[in-house]
Amino acid sequence: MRRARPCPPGLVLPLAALLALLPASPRAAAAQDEPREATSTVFARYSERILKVQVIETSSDAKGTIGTGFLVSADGLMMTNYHVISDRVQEPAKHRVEVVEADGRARPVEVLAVDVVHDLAVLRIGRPATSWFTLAPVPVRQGDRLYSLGHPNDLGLSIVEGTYNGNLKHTLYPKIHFTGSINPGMSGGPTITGDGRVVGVNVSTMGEQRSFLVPETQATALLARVQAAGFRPAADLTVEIAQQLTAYQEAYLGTLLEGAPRLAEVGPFRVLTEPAPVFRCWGGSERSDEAEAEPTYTEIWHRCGTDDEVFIADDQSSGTIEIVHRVLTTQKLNAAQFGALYSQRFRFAGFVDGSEKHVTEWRCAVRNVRAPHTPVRAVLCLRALKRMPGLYDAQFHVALLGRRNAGLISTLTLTGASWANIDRLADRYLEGLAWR
Amino acid sequence: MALILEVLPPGRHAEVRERHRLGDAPLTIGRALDNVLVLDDLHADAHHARVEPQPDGTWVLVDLGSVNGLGVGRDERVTRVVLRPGAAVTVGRTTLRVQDAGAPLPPALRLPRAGTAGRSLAHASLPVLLGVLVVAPLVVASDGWLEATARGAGTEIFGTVLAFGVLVLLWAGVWALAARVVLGRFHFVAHAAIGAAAVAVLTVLGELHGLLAFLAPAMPGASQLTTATALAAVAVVVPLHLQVATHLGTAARWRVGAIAAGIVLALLLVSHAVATDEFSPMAEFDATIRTVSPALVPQEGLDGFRATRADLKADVDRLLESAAR
Repeated sequence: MRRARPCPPGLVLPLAALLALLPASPRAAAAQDEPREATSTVFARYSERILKVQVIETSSDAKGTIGTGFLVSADGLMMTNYHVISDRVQEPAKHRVEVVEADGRARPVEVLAVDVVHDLAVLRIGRPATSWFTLAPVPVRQGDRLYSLGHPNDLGLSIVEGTYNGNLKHTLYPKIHFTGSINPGMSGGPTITGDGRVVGVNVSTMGEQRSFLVPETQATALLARVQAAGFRPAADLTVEIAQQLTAYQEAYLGTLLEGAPRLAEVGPFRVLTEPAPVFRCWGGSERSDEAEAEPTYTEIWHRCGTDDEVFIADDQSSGTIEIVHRVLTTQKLNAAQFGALYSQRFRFAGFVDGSEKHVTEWRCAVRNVRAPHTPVRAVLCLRALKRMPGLYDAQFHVALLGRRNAGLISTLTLTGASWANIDRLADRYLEGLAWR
Repeated sequence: MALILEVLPPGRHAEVRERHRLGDAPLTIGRALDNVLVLDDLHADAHHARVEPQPDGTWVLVDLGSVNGLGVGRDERVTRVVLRPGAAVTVGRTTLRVQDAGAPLPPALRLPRAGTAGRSLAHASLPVLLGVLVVAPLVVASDGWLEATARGAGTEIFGTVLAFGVLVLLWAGVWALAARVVLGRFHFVAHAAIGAAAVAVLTVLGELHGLLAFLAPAMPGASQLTTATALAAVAVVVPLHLQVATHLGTAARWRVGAIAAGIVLALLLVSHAVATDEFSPMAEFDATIRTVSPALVPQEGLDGFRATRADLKADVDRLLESAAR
């Protein structure tokens, strides 16, 4: 569940790979016979509302990232993705943002506001617009023909046809599934109907026409916020991002695992599963020696996660939550040998992407704990987000103790969570693990 | 003053072959059998030199027209040398050394008393040493077997034992050879037994350390325990080898052991100081789990674990603060 990194210039961020199991998208599903605007007409009519956005790395005075933006007001406000201009927000001294006009001239622009959770940003281009998109709700049905515009790989403004396929099911906030080729560089561009109404903002892709849009409603909400703030830029965008992430994780984690949790029976254990409807769980098992009638040991895994991940910077993301259970059973190993196997599997329980720029080193506390249903070996590993005060990454590793031939290693991973939520979830997590 | 002439035959590590007290009669020296001092030295003349007593009570060595003369100091050739205590003269390739018979000597070394702790390991009975050499690999092998989790672990265990065996033999070989060259004692089996015993003891201690790490994860200094054990091993093993290899007294041996451990510690500290902390996205912790009955495992309650977590958070916050500075 990680984004590929680092992003080359203008990369549209690939979404998590779990969706890869979906059947190939049938392009023929779009009705070919219904009357619609010719694509060339759509392009001719709306292309002047779309501009290339580039982030210049000041030391080399050359492009570090490119993306797309579209005009949304007469006074020159422009919508794009946060991830297009994130370098400027994270390291303002080293970057500046420009838009490229139709005549090829670059014009410096100002970042007015960002919505890091939904990956949106509002820019002010410093000149009035002659033509712009008015954001408003658009009724769309699955299969409707849509047009996505942008600058794929800096090849020039392009238009891509595709179909609307509804919202993703396994995200906390809505994200539109657009079947059409959105490519790196098209990030921040609009996806519109034939009559020029914005359905969403291009944001990410998994390749093979599986693309994703931020719904128009989120863009409208951000624009309303900019208006309410009197079109003044935020004093410090990183502080604002920290606040947004804090509010987001509170909405996400604040009530997670409250009430009676859903449980699954995995081998000889009872474990937490699908803590909320947005979670998806996958599982499998593996025998140590496939050829033998009786394997030395068997390993079963059960993993739950969501498709949500908030991009903060190329090497830092937030808002992930993942639960992994791994069950080891053996009929052949003696107690000491099983202990060695158990230790070895426990040792390699934890890796969370991160860089020194954004996070502190990990610190772990290891204890043997009398959990409600069973004694456990519990390890909490914690690191702080350096630029997001009050937010932490955490990994909670638990190994159940008490059997000589069976064990459960369970890991809860949270990124960008408040201490209160981490601490509360650690307790709730311990309650959810038991022998059957 | 009575002088003694010591004869050291050719060779770098020559020992005194014979001694002559200088008297009133001249002493003839050469390869011929009619000399008083006969030298088996092809570089000496048949009648090479003669020691002549002087009226003032001293002695002078006079060359008798030999091919190679008398050698003094580095490369000097002379025909006449006054013999004084401490002087050395070469005749051919034989060294003649002059000693004062009345020079004071240090007291005699005390023999180790039989039946006390001072008895050298070098003289332990061969069956005992061989017993150690058999038991130690068994300890290493059973430790490997207790940690074997894959099929065909036998090969791996055999490989481990073999590797340890080769290391111990090399280690013992270095000690034995060094002792042989410097002091003329070999005692290879005793050195090997010490090395093997050390490996076996460290293997057992490693297991105990793992058990302790599992039972008491909160114990402070647990991570330094391995280092301390290794240093203690150096401080014990070195004196044992010295006991086999040298005549050093007990206190001196332990002192050398302590110095060796000190050197290892210093090297560790230096390597620690020059090592740069690489940032790691991998959370590392002591993952040791032992399948002992939970009744024997000391456990924290949920409240205790909450307090532990709060301490952890404070620790990370301090880290954040120091990173910000």
